[in-house]
Amino acid sequence: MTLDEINDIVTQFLREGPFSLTSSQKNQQFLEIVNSLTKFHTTNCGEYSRIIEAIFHNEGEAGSLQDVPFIPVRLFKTLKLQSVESPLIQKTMMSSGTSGQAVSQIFLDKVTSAAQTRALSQIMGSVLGKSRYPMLVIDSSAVIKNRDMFSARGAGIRGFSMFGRDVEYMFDDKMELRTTEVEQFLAKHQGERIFLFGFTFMVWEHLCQALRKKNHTLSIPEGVLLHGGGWKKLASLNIDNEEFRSEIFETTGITNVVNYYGMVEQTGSIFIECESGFLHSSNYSEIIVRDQRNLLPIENGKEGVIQLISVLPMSYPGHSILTEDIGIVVGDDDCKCNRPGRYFKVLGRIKDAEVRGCSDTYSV
Amino acid sequence: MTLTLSDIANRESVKFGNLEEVVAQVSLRPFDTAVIDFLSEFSRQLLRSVQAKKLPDVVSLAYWCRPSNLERMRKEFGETSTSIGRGIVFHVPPTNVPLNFAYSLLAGLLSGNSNIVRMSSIDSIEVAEVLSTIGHISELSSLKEIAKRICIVQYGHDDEITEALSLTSDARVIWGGDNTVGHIRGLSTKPRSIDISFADRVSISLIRASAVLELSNDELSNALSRFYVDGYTFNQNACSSPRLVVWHGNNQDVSEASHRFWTHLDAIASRRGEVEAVHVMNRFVEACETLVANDNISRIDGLSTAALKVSLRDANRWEEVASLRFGTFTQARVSELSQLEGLLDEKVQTIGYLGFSPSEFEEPELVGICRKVDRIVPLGEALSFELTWDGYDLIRYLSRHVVIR
Repeated sequence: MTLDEINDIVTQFLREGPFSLTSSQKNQQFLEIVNSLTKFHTTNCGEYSRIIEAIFHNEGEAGSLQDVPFIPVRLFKTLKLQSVESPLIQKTMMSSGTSGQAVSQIFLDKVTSAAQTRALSQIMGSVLGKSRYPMLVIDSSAVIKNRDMFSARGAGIRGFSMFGRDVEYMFDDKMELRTTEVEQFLAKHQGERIFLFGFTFMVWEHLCQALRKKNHTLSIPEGVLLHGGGWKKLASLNIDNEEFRSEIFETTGITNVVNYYGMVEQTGSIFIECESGFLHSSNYSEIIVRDQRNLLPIENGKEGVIQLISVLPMSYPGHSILTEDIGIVVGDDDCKCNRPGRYFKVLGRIKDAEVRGCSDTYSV
Repeated sequence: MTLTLSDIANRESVKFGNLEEVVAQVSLRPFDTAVIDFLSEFSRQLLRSVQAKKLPDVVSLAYWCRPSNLERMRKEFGETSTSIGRGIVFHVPPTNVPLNFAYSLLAGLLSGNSNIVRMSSIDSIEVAEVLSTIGHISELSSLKEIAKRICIVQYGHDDEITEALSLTSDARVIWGGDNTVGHIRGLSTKPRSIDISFADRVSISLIRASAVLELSNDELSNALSRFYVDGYTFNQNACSSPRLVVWHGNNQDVSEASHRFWTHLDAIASRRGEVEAVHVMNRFVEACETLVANDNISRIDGLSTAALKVSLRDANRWEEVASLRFGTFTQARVSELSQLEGLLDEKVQTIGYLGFSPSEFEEPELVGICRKVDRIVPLGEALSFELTWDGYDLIRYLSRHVVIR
């Protein structure tokens, strides 16, 4: 199968809205695309095919989503994985998983970028509707000024900025709140719905806590705040979603707070938190939770390692990845919010542990 | 200018003992009664400690220096009246096997020496427990003199200190890997000082297929528990951890025996239930990375089982993938023991065997095996520290034999 052929299938699939397939329907249409992606990457990415053939023994088409082979997400940090010729690569996304560690490299071609944008638009449409609203970015514009460096943070801001207009950055280069500019922006758009986007920890640290310190509050009752990027830092401060939301309300008056979950390895097909507080798979992606001890799929309601499947990755073999996050599938098709499909919770990352042994430790 | 001992004492954190006192001690004969008393008390205190009971590595250490075992080692050594400790031994243990420092120190004490131990970290609870016990017994008046023969210094990568301590010592015990050994051996020493260097090593298990097939289920469980200890302790990251399983037998026996073996291992592992998610993840990641880097791997089985089984196109190249850990094993088959030699080189330290008798390895035609390896021990004992380690008889190396005629 050629890149064009696989792109046609994916593009066709993305025409449909993000929340229409039930979990069992997904096991047909979605699975077909995912199997095609596995085949495509096996043909076009040597490293990927080596892993799939040696470990998963290339058993042909997966009969169910659970049988789709997966690779550890950490491989994007140590290997250069791409499934299209280098001249087709338009940009390379970088992310640092944990601070100070190696960065992931995600190679994007035109069609994959376009598919990401399309999927993200569809999913964001379900949060914001079709209109574009005045937007506040809860970050500094310095992050996106360097266009050569496609950091996950910059890419996230740039990606989500498409869904707003009249975009204003809330922080200066030193990550200090630009109080005057923000107040002017709010005065100008008084009474309008405002779209705010930021990374969870930035929102907490540089917005909520900064406002607390200044003894200042903002009034954005019409705001819709979308945030993501992980709870790791907040979890270490013992702050949960409830406290996060109430802090946002107290400092900014925002009640409409939406968390999203996603990885730079599967940009676009993000998972959105619903009114009931659960993350949802869209048509374009799926989550499978696996037993931490043996990586076998486990039943709903049980904690395990999160595997993510997405129809978007074409230029790199990231359509089925084993993350290092721990989560629980809460249920299928029966969330109170009425979205069909699978809904889940992310609980954190797998616990790091000391590796013992007698190798070089003194080291030169 | 070289640092003086008091410079080091001022600069670095001495966790136990006193450097100047250590160098002031005189050598003793190996297995001196005072040292035996000290270690026996050390063992007793550890075995009595509630905290230590929860730490298997500490319990093993306590058992290692219980009086009966010390007596056995003394007898094995033989006549001590013409031997005497070299003087001061400087130990550079690895940090990631927490209690390795203790065994190194014990060998230094038993051989009649004073000891300086360099620790880069004392964070582990095992280390803390051992240090506090040593501190405890050194307060007993009868044991005070022996305690003066121990000094534990904690410092980072500081060649100046390492060199100053090297120039103070009559022997150094340097635990590898290769880079550490090479680096530290590059630093100056006393002209007559000796080094005992433990370099990077790998180990294997050797299993007679017919023996596996003959074992009852209970016996097999027992054997696999021993394999589990060898293969899974320290995340399979120690020099003595088996990386290769060599099957001995004909094709059919090996195929049946290995199937029985690995299936049973899953049961043992899940009964133990001590698998950590991060290790499962690391194992998967390292396997993928190695696959991409090494085209000698033909397949890897058992992603969802206790052991990842790596098949190689050319089994003789098994050491190339020996860095895989967390329960990852390559396999090879031999139909005659003499073929084993082809799989060995000087990097191989230990053979842990099942289904053989020790005398089989003493046959003259198998001398080739002994040319390569340092230890051939029953399954389950690969990681049990002995006074003869990596081919060094530590007490003899760390003492001098005085010729008296």
